[in-house]
Amino acid sequence: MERIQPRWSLYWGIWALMGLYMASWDLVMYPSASILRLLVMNLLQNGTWGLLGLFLLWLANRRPIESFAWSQWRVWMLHLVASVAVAALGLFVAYCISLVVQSDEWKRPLDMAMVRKGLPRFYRAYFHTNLLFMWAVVAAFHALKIYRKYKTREVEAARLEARFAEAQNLALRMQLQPHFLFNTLNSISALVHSNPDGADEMISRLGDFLRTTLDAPHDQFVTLRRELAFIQDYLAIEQIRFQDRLRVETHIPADLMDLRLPSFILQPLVENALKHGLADRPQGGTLTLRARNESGHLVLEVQDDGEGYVPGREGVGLANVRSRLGLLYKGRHQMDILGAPGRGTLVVLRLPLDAALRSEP
Amino acid sequence: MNLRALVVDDEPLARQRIRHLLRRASDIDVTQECTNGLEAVKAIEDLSPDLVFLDIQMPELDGFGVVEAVGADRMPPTLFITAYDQHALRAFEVHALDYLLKPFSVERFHQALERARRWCVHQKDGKGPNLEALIDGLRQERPWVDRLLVRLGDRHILVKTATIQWIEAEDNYVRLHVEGTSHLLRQTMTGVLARLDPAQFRRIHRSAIVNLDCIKEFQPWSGGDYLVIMRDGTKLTLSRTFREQFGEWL
Repeated sequence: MERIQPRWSLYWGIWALMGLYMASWDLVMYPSASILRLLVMNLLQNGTWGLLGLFLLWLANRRPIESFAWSQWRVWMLHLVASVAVAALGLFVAYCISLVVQSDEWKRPLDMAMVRKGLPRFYRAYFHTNLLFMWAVVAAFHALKIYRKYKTREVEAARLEARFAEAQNLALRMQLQPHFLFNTLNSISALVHSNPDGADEMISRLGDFLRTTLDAPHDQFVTLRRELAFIQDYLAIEQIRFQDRLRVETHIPADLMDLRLPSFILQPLVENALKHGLADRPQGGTLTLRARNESGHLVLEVQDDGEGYVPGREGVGLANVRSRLGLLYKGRHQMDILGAPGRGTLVVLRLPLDAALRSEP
Repeated sequence: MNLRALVVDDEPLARQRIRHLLRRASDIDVTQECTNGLEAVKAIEDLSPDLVFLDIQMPELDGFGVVEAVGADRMPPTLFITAYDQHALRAFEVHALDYLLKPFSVERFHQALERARRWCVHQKDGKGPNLEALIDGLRQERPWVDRLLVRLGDRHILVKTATIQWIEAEDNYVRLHVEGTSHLLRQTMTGVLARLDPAQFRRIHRSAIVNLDCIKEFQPWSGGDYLVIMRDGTKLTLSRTFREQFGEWL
């Protein structure tokens, strides 16, 4: 949980203002009293309440009220009892302060009869006001807490939006990579002579591919079916271009196809596998995509049998996937990159299913 | 006598396209096809072809890497081919080299081929295109490499710069210390440093460059020097002269 950063000058400033306010009130009630004395008394009293209020803040920080739900009744009761106790104690101390400040002759013994009459009257006059102060302390704490949470959420949402835009942008750039496009056209010009049907196929694949590019999803979440279709268009063309060098295997059960996952999350992983795992190996290799439902998680795997991931600085694509997952799932997901030199790389994503299913159809 | 040509491209269909177009050129025989840069270096050294069709973007060692490995002065007349590479195109323009852009038309191909034939003649008079200047120019644009080509006996291997732990000066060579082994590279310390990403490699001593990812710790040593302990236990010295660049940490 996020820690509430107190602003102590504000806290004590409010209590001091309260002291001044009450002193002026007393002055109106007892015009003959010494101003200095009233000021000292009220500031001391409010200072005491401020000190006792710290206990309420400490308690609220330890056991904050999370909601208005019935399940929270114990916490509500705790704060109610604590504030009543603190208000009562605060008033007793305040009464003592008033006795000390008002008595002129220190040596005179305390008139117990006066105290017995005065204390209940003091409580009757001030207890409810004082209790209200204490509630105000607890309420202010929670208000600040909610405000902070709201601010954090706002910042997070903005960050998520930016990351999503970046991912979208990266995906588009990959598709419209001029290199990819021109190489594909060059492959077609070779196929036209040697394999007209192949050329035909390649042209329609390229068409599909460009179409997907033009209506790229604008949602944070898409179905696995859609994300895969997007990747497969790309892979199909790469497969024709590299012919025997790129083999693709997919093991994805049909019943997972409608699950939702963050859009463009697989694409950077596939691109990485091709770039670092396969394209850099003259003999090529196999790219394997797997998905399964494992105890409430959608587990996605992208594997290549290339040269193996060497831990180090991550590329833009991978870093983006990592930060987007972090913002969307807040640590409830898992992303592992496993690699062994010469034995390929395996990227495993574990996404909580509730979030994968959630969001509009 | 027919010209012997080498076709280098990692995409089978791209090689097929060139082979197909060369069928109309009766004076050119394709002696070999290479699917990557390393194969190309070996083929150029072994077969010394008269003409090379060289794709620029290839796995591991790209077209310019091939030229560097063979040596710009020993490179046969070369027709560069690229799908899209603005840096390269600018360099070609500057050095007045002809090149082919994929996808190219039959006409454009034969036009470039005609020019290449003329280079073949000129090369014997030493008037071929200046590849050396081209490579130097590109080096300035793309200073950092992620692989270094190392000669091992009669073959070449590529060493990923990320796997280099540290580099030691050794007379006219530098020794690249890679996990469990080391390779000699004919290069100066300054020369090799210029080609490595400064975010990853720093010089710590007159005779040592380290990969920052492989450092375990720094220990203060005498006279303002630091002891650099690498992950594999190797101890190196960070001399005072080079300490400044670690100002952010030490």
